[in-house]
Amino acid sequence: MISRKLTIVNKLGLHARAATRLVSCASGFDAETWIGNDEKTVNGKSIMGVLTLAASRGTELKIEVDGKDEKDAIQSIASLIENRFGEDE
Amino acid sequence: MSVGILLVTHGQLGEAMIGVAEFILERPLAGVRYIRFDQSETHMTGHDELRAAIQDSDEGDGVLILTDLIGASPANMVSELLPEFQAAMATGLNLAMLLRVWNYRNQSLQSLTGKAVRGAKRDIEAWS
Repeated sequence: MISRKLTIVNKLGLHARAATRLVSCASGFDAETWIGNDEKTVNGKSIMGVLTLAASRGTELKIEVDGKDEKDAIQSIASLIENRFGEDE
Repeated sequence: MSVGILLVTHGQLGEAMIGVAEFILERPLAGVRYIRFDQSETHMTGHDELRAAIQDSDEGDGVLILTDLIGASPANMVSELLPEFQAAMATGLNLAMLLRVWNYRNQSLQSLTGKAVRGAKRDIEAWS
């Protein structure tokens, strides 16, 4: 298992469509993905789970990925977050 | 396995909820239908119309019917028709319920019904 801390940088935070994109990304890999804040950890392949993190801009999340393709998975997830889920700001 | 999903709601609520869910998910909600429950002077939704909608929604694995308000006419009429079909109803439709149901639509009718109700309740929180 590998883990990495990432900060939400897009203006709207981890909103509903952003959560959908994150879940779609995580679901593209066999590895299990868990995403947590200070209070809870949720399944990274569950839209409703990810939404309950209510992560606004500036929130630091801990991403944990476990599986044979974990390196590719965490890199893809990190790129998505760092690139603001494809949003302009 | 794919359970049919039917939203039976007052007015345009069901249609609007599907639209919002499709916006969030960025894809069509295949297999999710709605019926606008109407009791206006010009149109009264009746048992036959509702019965036809349930039949149309069943692709062989049953239908989960999501209604907006327990005790209100849409839910009451659905409950009267449930014995006629392989169907179940969840009341208190909200977006969390709809997204969860769509996500788990390949589960059995019984399992999906439980997911709908538990998920909708779980995602209601008080913030201050």
